[in-house]
Amino acid sequence: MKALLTSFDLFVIALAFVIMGLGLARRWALWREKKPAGIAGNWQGLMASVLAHRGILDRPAVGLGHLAAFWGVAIPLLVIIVAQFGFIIPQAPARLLSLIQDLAGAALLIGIVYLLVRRLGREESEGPSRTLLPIILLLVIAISGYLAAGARMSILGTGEAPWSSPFGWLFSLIAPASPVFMQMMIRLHFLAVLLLIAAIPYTFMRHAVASPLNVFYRKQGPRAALTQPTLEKGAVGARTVDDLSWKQLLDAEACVACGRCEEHCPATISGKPLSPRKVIRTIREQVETVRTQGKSSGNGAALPLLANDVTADEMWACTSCMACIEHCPVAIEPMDKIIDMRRYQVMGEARLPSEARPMLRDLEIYGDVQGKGAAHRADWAMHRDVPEIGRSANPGAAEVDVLLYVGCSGAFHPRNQETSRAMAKILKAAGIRFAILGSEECCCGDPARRLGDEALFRRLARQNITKFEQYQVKKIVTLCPHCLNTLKNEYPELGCRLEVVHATEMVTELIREERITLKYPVADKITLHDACYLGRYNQVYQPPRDICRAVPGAALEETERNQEKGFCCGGGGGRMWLHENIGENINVVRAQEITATDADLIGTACPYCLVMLDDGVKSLEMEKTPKVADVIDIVADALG
Amino acid sequence: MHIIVCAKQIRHTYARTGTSPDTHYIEDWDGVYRVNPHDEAALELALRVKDDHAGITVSLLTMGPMIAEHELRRCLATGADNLYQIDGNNAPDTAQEPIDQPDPWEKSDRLARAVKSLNGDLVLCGKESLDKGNGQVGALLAHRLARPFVSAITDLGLATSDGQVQVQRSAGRGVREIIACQLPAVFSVDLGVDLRLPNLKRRQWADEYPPRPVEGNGESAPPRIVCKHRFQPRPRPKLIPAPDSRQHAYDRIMQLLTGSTVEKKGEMLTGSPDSQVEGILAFLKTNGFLESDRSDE
Ligand code: SF4
Ligand code: SF4
Repeated sequence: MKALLTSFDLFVIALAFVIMGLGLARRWALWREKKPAGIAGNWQGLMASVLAHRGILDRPAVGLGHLAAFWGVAIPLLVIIVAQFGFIIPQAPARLLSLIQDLAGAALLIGIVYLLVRRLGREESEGPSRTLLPIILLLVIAISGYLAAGARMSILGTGEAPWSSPFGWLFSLIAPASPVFMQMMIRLHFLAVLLLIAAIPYTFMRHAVASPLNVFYRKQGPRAALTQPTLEKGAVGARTVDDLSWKQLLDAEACVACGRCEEHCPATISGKPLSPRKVIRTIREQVETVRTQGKSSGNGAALPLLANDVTADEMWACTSCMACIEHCPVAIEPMDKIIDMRRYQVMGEARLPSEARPMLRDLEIYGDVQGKGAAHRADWAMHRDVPEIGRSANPGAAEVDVLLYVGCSGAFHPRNQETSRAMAKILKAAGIRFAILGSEECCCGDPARRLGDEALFRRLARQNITKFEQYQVKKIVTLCPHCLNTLKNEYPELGCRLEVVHATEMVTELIREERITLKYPVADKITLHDACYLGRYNQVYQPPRDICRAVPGAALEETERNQEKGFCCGGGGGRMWLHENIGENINVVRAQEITATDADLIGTACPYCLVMLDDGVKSLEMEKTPKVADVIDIVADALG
Repeated sequence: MHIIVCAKQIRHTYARTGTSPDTHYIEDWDGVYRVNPHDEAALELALRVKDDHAGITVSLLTMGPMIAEHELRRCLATGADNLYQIDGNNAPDTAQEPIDQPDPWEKSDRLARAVKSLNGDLVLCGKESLDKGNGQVGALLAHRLARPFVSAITDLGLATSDGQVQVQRSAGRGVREIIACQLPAVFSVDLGVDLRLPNLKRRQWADEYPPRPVEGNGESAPPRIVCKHRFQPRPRPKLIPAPDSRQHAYDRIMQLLTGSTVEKKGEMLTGSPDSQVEGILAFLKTNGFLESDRSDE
């Protein structure tokens, strides 16, 4: 093969790489200048994703097709590079190598043909036509390679070991025994390879660079964390693409438009105009316009507004359920961009759907989402002997093991108040020394943050943090997964690092340690609804299940979409306070799915889910409406 | 044109969870500090005028110490140009206690002098305040300034050059009146208008803004309508009405426990759309909202 490389060939090869390099450099000039210094990469994740296709294989058929095509290119490429060093290889391993080459080529051929076939007749959203050019190039590469090998075999005869090149042998049956033909095929083969290399930055193939890079720089730390705008410096979210961070732009570059995010997005599924894929594509298109028009003089005045292409209906439809992030094969996070756009609407433009305004106003004035006021915050515990930390004789953590952070729902919503009382009962039964903040607690800030009012979130969070510090709180148990996520993953940004657990985690522990025993049966068949903020955000999947299993006489039946694939109740991301007047109601969609399990009790571990599903299930008007309960309620009932 | 909006900072006490009779059973956390909501509505009307016409300045005018500073600055951030403060320093700190506030006679005198020194063409104030509920200050202010006064307006439109304004006021029971009024004038504003939000940039500006002191000090009119005693309602055990016997046992118990009535609001209509429509029609007819078509039969 070495002999084939004339200086002209070398020139062509170099040209291809130069074209590719230039293209990549130009393509990424925009985001490169934003790259923060010292950002850490993740080799392990990269290897798992590239070599083993972790994530991509979640969709088995197309994942395998891609895997085959990937290795079908990678192996021969490696072999050719190694071959350039001209090692003398003994015959047996050489034959084996040849076999591997041959099989890799076959894998490529099969993979590519599959990808091509499934693309035919699909709509743009499922198989974008931009992928056609690289696919055809790859097809040419595979076939010309085989024809060249086949021609060589026809000329030289199959030799002693046709097994070392079975597909080449197959092709030798149709390839003419002509050296000219063989040369032509070899030329075609290499031309196609070089074309493909040169085309990487300009076609869909750039995902071969951008997507691994994105996986490499996958966000570290808490899952699906939002960006932290420097409000003091006037950063108020994303007005144009210029306001997005380096990683956010890389996200947009890495998207292969596979549509998996969209397939799991509750907003898309229930017929809202929002599609996370489209959000990412919009950002990419805007970056491209900026690139072609040249970046305007610094202040971004001439850049198109993100809100021009992402409408309010789209922006406000997101439930922040994180499904898009969970299912993206290349670690893209559409959600944080949506929240950044909301931030600009709220903090930059003072624009917010009018139905959500009273809630934010209540948060501002009263510190809770219902506007009932701090004085009533402990009303749920009235006459129930629940100690308030600030009113005990010796305020301080000394006599308290754990602080029960109740949250607005648990404190004010009649249904969720039951859960708070249930939790108090359980903690007492287990003999745990706990306390609540009572009137000194305020909202954790999650609703404000998801609705884009970062400033209000910080104010509420600081208020809580001051209290935690004042009473030297060491450990917190929360009833609401949103509080859990905020306290555990978002307060550390503001300098408050505490041990925070969810009620279900704590109760599971108590059951395991046999500090409480569930004695009474409560239902025959329980099914579980996974709360997004508990499951996907905080990976707490098992505890609610363990609890349900510990209930005597109850069978646990999973819903069709569960755990990582769990479907949102529609109440997160501030959606609880927004009208839902486009498409179906998400909670009804979910309720239909859950009731298909025929369970008589639906367990959940989130106050929002409880309320949303309760509404959803009731609106189905079934003959026998299953009961919706928090697993904490279930435990309290089973305690007797 | 200069519009002055009077903004009262109040402590709104919404609960009584205390145990001590000395504090009237009111604890710190039983109240919130805010700007009187009627005054917020007044500001919104002023800002709407400012949005629609050029050359309009909107100034906030407050009296006494900054007890609700955060909320007042938020008001400033929604679009007012200035914030003036009367008696920033020499009012007692306890002015948040409604009884210690100057009487409406005295208040209106100070406000009137401030308005004069600020050359306000139009003065807007809330119809009443959440903590006192007097509803006098606006009228007295107009009296002292010898200007026309319209109470409880809900909409404000600036007419052309002849110095006239058109206001809509609520005359109670849903009756509305459109009134034309000559400027300068004083209006008091009722609730009802949708308020705007401030953006962060304006908020940051407002947070830095130093309130400007204004003439209003010095010899003020002696009080004439002084409040002598203020009785808080005695803290009573929560009155829980007997639960509705039509409800489920569960709901009834919940009603007793939470102390609130979740009253049955009506019938839930089920069935096909057609039968639901019939149900609605039947309801409207039996309750006299629709004329029964019996005469046709
Ligand atoms: S964001 Fe991820 S999941 Fe969604 S289309 Fe792009 S690559 Fe696919
Ligand atoms: S977070 Fe959930 S609702 Fe929002 S875009 Fe992603 S999948 Fe859709």
